[in-house]
Amino acid sequence: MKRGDRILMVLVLGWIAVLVLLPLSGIVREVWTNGLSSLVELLRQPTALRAFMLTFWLTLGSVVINTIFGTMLSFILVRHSFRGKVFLEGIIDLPFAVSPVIAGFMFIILFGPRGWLGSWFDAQNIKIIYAFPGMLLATLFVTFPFVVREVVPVLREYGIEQEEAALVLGASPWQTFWKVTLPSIKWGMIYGITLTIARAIGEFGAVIVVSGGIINKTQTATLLIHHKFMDFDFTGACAAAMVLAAVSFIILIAMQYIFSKRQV
Amino acid sequence: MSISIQNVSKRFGDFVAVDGVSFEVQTGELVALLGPSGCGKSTLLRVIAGLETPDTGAVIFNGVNMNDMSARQRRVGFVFQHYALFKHMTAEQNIAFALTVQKRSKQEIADRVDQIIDLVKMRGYGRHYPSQLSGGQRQRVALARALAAEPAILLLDEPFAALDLKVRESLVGWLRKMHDKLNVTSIFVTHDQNEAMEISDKIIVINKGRVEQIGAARDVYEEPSNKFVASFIGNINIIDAHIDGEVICVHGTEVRLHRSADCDAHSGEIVLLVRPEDIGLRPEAGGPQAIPAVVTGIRYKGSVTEVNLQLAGLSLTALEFSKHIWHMGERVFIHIKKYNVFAAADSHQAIRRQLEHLGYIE
Repeated sequence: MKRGDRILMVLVLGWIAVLVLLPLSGIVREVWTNGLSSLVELLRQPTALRAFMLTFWLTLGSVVINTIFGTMLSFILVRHSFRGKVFLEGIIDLPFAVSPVIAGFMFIILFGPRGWLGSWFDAQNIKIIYAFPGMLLATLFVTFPFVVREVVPVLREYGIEQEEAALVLGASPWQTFWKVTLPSIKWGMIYGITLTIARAIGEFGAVIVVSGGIINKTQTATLLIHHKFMDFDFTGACAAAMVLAAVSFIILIAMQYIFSKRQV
Repeated sequence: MSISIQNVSKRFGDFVAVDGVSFEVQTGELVALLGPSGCGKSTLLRVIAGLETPDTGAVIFNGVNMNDMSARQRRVGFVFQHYALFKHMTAEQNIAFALTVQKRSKQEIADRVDQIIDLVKMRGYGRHYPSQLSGGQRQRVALARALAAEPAILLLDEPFAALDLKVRESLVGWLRKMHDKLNVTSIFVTHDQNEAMEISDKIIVINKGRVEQIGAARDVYEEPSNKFVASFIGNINIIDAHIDGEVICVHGTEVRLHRSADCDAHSGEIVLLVRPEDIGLRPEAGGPQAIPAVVTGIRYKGSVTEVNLQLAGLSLTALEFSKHIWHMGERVFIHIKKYNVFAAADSHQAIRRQLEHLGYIE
């Protein structure tokens, strides 16, 4: 390796260490000095378990709904041309552009007890805001672009020739989708799903606005960490943060592993 | 299974891709749809397969109108130009696809795949993915996949266009042998006249969405029905000339050519279309029909020598089979042994432009 290359490498790796590894090691060290009992204690608290379960359900809901609708939207964008398509393509990135706090606020305005739709739902005795549906909506909103953004280019490159081939060979539209189309766009979907999971687990801004952070009811894992931190429960916050970070890390590693096994 | 195409038209917006095309293909024939790129031949093939719906006309298989049948119901074998293999499936899985979706038994599928993999000489490559195969191998897998369910009709869209020359040459001959063995009615689309002439029973020449001529390779080459066919099939020299009764004048040289039967013109500007092999070269005039020219290029190709000639402002190409050695800058005399004559110099200009544009003449 040339001298210049070596300097460049040390510089970049050093930067990554300072930026990523150092803060992470801080949490691990903190948990370690507090003793692993702090982790055990955290996992014994029903409140904490509820918060983690809520994050799990929100993440699962976002993945399922955004994968289905994101894939359908990708098909429409790639395979059809219609008026306002450019506009629609622009809208997809909107959740990236808008701050999550603003996103949450939009849902409050819309679904709050005195909001447009909120008053109607209120009359039916259906709670949206400060309840699971509102939190799911907010999470769906902020994670919406990921699947579409990953699937559209894959679908575009894939074209329609393979589907035509399947058709001529006698496959039904259903068989064509499951045996030909889906396996071809699978990797784009998986990548989009990975990003959706990561974002849904970590979402804070939009969720804190629409949830109200009611303990045992609408408190997610990130809200739990925030709450413990504000409550001067530094040990608990660290333990919860480490669990959440570990989950994200494991998902990331698992995805890396799956991608490395990728055949075609 | 016989195919009958009756007055089929297809337009995309303002563009007329196929314009009132009719032709017949007999059972077991191997037919080439030949034409320059963008002439509508691929669209026509897709109409036959049911991948496009014609605006007018009918596609008839064995006397049965197929217009209301979907591509899925027609069950033709179709080989795509860029193979369209399923990238996430092995060669075997690709070949088995038609049988798999028909839910045939595992044993039947395995037997058929085994059999057809031998037919396309792909033994040992069954478990390879398309990305692990060469272009020629992919094309053979595509062909095997199309043939697996034993279709009565095989359609091939520029099957060899994406392959390099050597692979293409061997596959072209192989396809003909394969066709003779299976005797499946086949139509293949090509822009390569050599390919078309080499293996097809019948050539359908298409230009701008219309049929220009239908015939065996020899008919189309020797008796072209119009200037387009004459210039598109094979190399051709386009010579401006003047006709006055029985006398044809080429650049000031009076040539007493025998009028060919297809010449309706009696006087005025005409175009002579002459195949390179129909131009004879001699060192001396040896008669009044000789036209003086200068040798401007010589390409020795073993069995034949290609000689470029300059004749006033005109460049010609001659193919010489004699072993005579020609020299650059030499003055020679050309004899036109056989020619086709067409009237109207203006449309000849149009054809020349079109052919130049397509790269068929320089």
